[in-house]
Amino acid sequence: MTADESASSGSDINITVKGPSELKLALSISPEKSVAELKELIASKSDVEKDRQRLIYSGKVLKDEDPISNYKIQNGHTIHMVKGASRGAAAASSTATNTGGSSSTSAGIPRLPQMGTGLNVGSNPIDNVENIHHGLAGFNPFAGMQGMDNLNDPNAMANMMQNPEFLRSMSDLMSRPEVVDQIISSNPQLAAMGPQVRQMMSSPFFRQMISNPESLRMMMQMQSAMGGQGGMGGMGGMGGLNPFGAAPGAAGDAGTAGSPPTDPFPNLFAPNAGATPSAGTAPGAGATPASPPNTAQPPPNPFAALFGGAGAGAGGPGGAGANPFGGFDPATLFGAGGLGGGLGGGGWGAPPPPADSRPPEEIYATQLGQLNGMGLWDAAKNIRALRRTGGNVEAAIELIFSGQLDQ
Amino acid sequence: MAKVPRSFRLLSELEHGEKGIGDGSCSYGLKDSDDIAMYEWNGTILGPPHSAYENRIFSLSIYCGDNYPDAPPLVKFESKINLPCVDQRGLVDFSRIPSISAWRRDFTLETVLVELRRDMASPANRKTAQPPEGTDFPPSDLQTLAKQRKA
Repeated sequence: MTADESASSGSDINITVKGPSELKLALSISPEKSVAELKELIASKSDVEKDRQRLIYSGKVLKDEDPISNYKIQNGHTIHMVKGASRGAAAASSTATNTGGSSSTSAGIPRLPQMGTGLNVGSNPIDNVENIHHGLAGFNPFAGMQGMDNLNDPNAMANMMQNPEFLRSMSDLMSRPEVVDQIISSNPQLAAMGPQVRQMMSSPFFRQMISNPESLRMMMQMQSAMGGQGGMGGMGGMGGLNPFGAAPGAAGDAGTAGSPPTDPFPNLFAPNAGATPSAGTAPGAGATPASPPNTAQPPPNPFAALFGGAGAGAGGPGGAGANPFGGFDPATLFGAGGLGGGLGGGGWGAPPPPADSRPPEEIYATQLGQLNGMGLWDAAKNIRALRRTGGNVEAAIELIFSGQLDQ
Repeated sequence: MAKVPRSFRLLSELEHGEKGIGDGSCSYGLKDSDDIAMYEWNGTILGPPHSAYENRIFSLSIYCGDNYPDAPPLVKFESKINLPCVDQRGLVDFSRIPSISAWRRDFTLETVLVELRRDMASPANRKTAQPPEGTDFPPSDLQTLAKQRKA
C-alpha cells in the first residue's frame, strides 16, 4: 500500500501491531528506522494519527526518537498500540472511548448512547429475559430438542442427561474456546472468578465430566444425599477432577461463602436444594472436612473428589453474588452457554446478577474483537448491539444489519 | 505433574510476551534481552477505560528471583500510582490483591499484570484520584530488595 512496504528489503522485519478494539496490522519495516517512522506507517494504515499512538513492546513504551532496533524487536513479534489521550478534535472518531479524558462523574456525559436493556437486568427482568432469549435464539444448539422447555424440572434435567445428543452438544460446546470465552464474558460472576476459570472450563477433564452421564448423575445423587448443598457442590467436584488441581475455591477471594443460598438459579443439579432450607448454614462447614483428602490424593475415588470439590467450592467463589456458588452453577453454564432458549425466565432471567460495574468495552472485549474482525468498526453501535443481545455476537450482528438498532 | 523448571517457564512466558498473545492491555518482556538468567523484566499496564487510570500507560519493573514461579515475583510500579496494594516505593503487596494473594505456581507474570489491572478497575479503586501523569516512583534496586525479602 505504501512505499515503505513495497520497498521492503531482506533486512526488514515483519511485525504485528495490535491496536485498540483488536485492530491488527501486519507491517514490514526496517529496524534501522525510528519509532516515529513506524508510527507514520501505522497512521497510514489505520485511523490513528501519529500523535495519538503509543507503542508498547515487551513491557516497554517505545520512544519516538529511538531506532526500532533499540528494542530488539524480532521478526514475528507484536507491538501493542494504544490510543493516547485525545488532542482536540478527536471526537471525529466514533469510538466509545470518551473524549473528555476525565472519567470522574457518572452524571454528565452520556458516554454510550443509551444503555440498552441488556444491563438493566435488575430493574426490568422480564424485558431482559426476552431480549436474551431473543439474542440466544440463533445460537441455541439445542433448539428443537425435546425436554428443553422446563429446565426447572429436575426430571427434565435427568432426562436431558440421558440424551446422548445433549451430551455431545455440550461437550462440543465446551470444546470451542470462543464459546467458553463468551460464557465467561457474558457472566460477570464467572468473569470475576479469576484467571483459572478459562483454564478449568477448557480442561479436557471438565469437558469429560460434563459430557459423562455417569458423573453427572452421580453428582445429582450426591446432591440429594447431601441435602441439597446447592448446585455448586456438584460442580465443585470438577475441581477435584481437574488435572491442574485447580479447585475452584483456590481462585476465590477469601470466600464469603456465608451468603445464604437463596440461590436464584434453579438448581438444576440439586433438585432438593430448595426443599432443604437447613442447607443454608451448611454449605461451607458441612463439606469442608472432606477437602483435605481431595488435595492429598485426587481422582481415584470419585466420591472423595466430589466431596472434596464441594468443600473447595463452598469456600471459594462466594463473593460473586447472592448465589454463593454462582460462578459454577450449572445453571449459569447452561444459561449462558446457549441452552437459554428454552431456559427462559429460569436460568437467565431470574437471577439478577450482581450489577457488573465494569465498562462495556471490558465486558464485551471478546465479542467486540470478533465484531471488529468482521469489519464492524462502530464500537458504540457494537456495544449497543451486544448489550441488547446479552453479549451474543451472532445475534448482535443480525441486529446491526437489521437496522433495528437505531430506532 | 512434573514441575516445569524456572528457565523453561520464563522462556515460554517471554515468548508469550513478545508475541503479544495477550490482549494488549498488559505487556511484559525482559528488561535486557541478553539477561540469560531472566531476572529483570519490564511490564506495562494500560489503564482500564472509564477509570481514573484511563488513557495512561503504567510501567512496572518485575524481578523474577531464583525461586520463581514457586514464589511470586517482586513487582514494582515505576509510574506513580495511587492503589492500595502499592506502597510508597511503588512495590506491590500481593497480600492485598485477593485473587493472587495465595500465590500458585501456575500464576504467570501475565496473571499478575492482569490481576493488577483488574484491581485498578475494581469498584473500590477505579475512582481513586491519581498522581499527575508522567511522575515516577523513585528507582529502587529490585535485586537487593528481592534478596532481603528472601532472607
